[in-house]
Amino acid sequence: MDITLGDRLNVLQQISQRKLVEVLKEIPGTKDLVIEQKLMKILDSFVGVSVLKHYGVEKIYKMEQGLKLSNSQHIFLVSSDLITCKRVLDQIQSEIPPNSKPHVQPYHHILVAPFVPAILNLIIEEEGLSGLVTLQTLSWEFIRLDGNILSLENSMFIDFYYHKDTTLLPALGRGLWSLQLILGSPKLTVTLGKHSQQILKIMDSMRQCLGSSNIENEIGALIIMDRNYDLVTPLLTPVTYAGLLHEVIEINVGTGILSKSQVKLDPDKDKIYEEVRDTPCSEVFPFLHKKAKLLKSEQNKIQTMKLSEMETYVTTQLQKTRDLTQQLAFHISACQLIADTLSSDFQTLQEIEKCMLECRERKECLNYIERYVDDHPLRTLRLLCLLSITSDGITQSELDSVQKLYLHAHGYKHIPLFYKLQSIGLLKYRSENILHKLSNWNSEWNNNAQKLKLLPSYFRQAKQKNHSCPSYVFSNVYVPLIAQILNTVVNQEKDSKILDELTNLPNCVISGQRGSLSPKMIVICIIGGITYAEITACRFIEKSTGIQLVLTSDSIITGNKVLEKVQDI
Amino acid sequence: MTSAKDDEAFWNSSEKLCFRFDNNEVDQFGVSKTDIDKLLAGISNTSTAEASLKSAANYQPLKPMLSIISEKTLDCILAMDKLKNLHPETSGVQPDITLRKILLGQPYSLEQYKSLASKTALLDAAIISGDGNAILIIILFLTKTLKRSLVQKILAERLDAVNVYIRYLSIRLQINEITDILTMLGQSTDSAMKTLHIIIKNTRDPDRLLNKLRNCYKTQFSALADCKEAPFVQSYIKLLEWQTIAKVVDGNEEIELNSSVLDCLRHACKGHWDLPEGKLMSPTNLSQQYDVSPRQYQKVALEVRAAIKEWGDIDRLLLTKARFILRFCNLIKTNNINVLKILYKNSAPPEVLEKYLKYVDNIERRLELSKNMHCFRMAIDILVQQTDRIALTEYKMKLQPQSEEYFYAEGMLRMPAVKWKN
Repeated sequence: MDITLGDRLNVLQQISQRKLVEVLKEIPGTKDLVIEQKLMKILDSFVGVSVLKHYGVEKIYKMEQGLKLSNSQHIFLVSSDLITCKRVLDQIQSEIPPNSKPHVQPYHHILVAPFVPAILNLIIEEEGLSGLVTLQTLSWEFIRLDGNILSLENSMFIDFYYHKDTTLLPALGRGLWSLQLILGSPKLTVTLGKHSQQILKIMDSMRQCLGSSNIENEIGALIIMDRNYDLVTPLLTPVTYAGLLHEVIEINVGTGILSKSQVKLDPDKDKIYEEVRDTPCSEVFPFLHKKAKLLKSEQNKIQTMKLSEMETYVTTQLQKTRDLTQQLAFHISACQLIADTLSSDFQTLQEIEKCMLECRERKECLNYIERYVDDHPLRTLRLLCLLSITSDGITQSELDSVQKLYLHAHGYKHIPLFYKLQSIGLLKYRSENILHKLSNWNSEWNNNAQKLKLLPSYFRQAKQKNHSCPSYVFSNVYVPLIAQILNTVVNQEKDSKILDELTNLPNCVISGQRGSLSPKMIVICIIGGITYAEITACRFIEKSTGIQLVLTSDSIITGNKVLEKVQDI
Repeated sequence: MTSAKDDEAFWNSSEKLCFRFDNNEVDQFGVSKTDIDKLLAGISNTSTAEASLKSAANYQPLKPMLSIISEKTLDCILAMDKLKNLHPETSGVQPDITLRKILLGQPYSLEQYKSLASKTALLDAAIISGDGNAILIIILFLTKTLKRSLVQKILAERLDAVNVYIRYLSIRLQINEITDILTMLGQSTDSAMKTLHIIIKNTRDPDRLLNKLRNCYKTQFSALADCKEAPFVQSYIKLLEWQTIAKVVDGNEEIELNSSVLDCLRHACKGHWDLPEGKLMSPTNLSQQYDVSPRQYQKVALEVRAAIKEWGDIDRLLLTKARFILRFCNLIKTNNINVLKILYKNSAPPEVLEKYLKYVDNIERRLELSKNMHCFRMAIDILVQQTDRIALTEYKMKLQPQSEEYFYAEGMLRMPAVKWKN
């Protein structure tokens, strides 16, 4: 039997299930399972109710205050953040009658994902619950989404880049470690950024303790990048369908949610999605239109069918057609939503983003930001951050007026917001400098981006409409850094110098065997969230160079999601 | 779920399915609303059940796990969670081993780390390892086993450790401790901002919020010379005070505590429009106090007065005063659609709209806007001015027959004085 990459990635789901089952098997009797809301969909991605039932889970609850549980074994499945854990402890407190002896029913088990924080033991002790609850880890493996994208569906951006707290780093390291056991160890490793190097060390510790499996499999390369190594990519607006879809609708563990319908964004099940996901959004509607017509003519054909034909149709085609109809409806609605959300300003927005990348028309850019601050807060913040990064910072006086407008429109409760953006490095300041006013002044950011060939307009004359460069994800104005690194690694044989040049980048370490890429499989990991623009740009290279690619991260992010998270800190 | 019958009924009715792209404005995505509606109307709303842990049917059959990975690999991965039972305790002071145990969730003990040197070595090793979980547990161990000044000294040289510890303290709302550490490190601005953030995020009651803000400003912000946020904090306090008074003045209605300056301005424009400038509740007073930009002020005033159909106020706001004329002209140039859009959205009568349409310099644009906003008279006048008989005739055909504007157009077409160009 041929084992494909897909088969290997599907094993992850089985392992996750197995991990949960092992925990359930250890707990005798009938069980109540209480699940933190945000983990529901994740659990759903690797285990079904029938399996849970089979291992004694009688009832499943959503975690909320004042639960009344009935079975003798109470299992709480929660994420490792301390506030959530404390809520569970409160719930357990409320269930324990005063003066009860330990090990009297009910029994309490807390299952913490992705791992039990060491501090939790101290808190349990503090709460007087030591000996009354058991703590266990549930670390699900990467969840497979949309083809070869693997995500833990646990966003770590704020932890790493605002709090500068790496508590969750081992969880990501563990995911990569498992993946290596399944796919093979990399011959070449490229890391960009501090956390990327730390994660390698963490994986090493795991290997030392548990050994590596004896499989001979190897992969060509592993590329790990810190999210803050390229913050421009999440700030720019993508143009592809999947990119914009993630910007405007809620997507929960690979399922797109619209008010009326839900669709699993899985190219294996949804052929329409497979065809349009990496296409620029402007080309998607005509495509959907054509599909709708085809569907209609198929329906017409049924009318003229003979009875026997009809029978075969019903048994073989009907369900497919139904699914297709539902998927088509979803994508049409989604297209509409994208158009409604962005349409009228989309061109101007792209124009402004381009100016920012090229360090031109600063005044117009700032005017645009000030004009839309009331009605589109997230979009303006995104642009402000983008401007500040691409031009090596904004000045105090420039920021002053935007900040004032923003606070007046959205409330002084946002005073800390700009400080938070600055701490993360999304908003950069610089002092007033007369030299910057010179017309030929160019930012350091722009110079570096040119050196890395991230700005196609500087090295390509013709404006290409067709998709011949990964920058098409940003209508040919910018190549996501990770795609450029991938390109370099893939083409190292042709031009070994470029790979060496990478080591000049700050905090970039290359180790392992150079030369030709073999086997032609590469695993990429971005620490702090991957964007669809990056996914699509990398897939473009995958297709054009004939390699196999696995893209991993803690979560899939968009610029708006990042900014919302910053607001919510 | 819609039945298959419904589906069929739809797909078979040709009328719903005809796409007429030529008639519609298609935006740049090539999507037009009417088309979408047509398409959607046809496609059944088979919504997936809110599938959350509902059935096992969704799980596609996969190949058996062990045909893809070896048993050893599987055991290796599963063993990770059961490390508790492996590896008996090895004693001694070996930071690497201790850290690996913490990393892998094995039982560990920090008790052997008695000497100051061993404690700092352990913390340093944790920082290098990048495991925040270990860093935190070690700091807490240090705070328990070392005197305060020593802990502070150790932290002062290790920012990575401070970050993790501050995060933990913020979760537990230990503001004093955060302030102490950050002030000791000379990061007074960070201390002030973190405190402010914790206060804003965790105080729901407006009165308590006001008190805490005053206190925070006094103890933390007032001493900061170059903190650009300090004036905003002061404004925040002032605004909350204003809101509290406003609530009393207006008898406890409408105004929401902790709302934005523009919300307050909206309130003032609505209920206290005619108050003289210096009065507490007057809109101009508010916008001066908080230095609201002219654009934001005008927009709010315009929206509020238009919503209650006080067209005269809008004239006064935009046209009468000389300085406003200038502003309005600026407005017209950069952003004129906004004024007209706001008026139109609030169903301003054609007379009002026409007054402002005049300021649209580009005649074609003005014509287009007049048509879109149903300012028939102005549209007809422009067409007459352009002596474009064909266009006017076409436009007339689109008007409601026998209506006032229809007759007006007809009258214009019959005017002998006009020299039609076509």
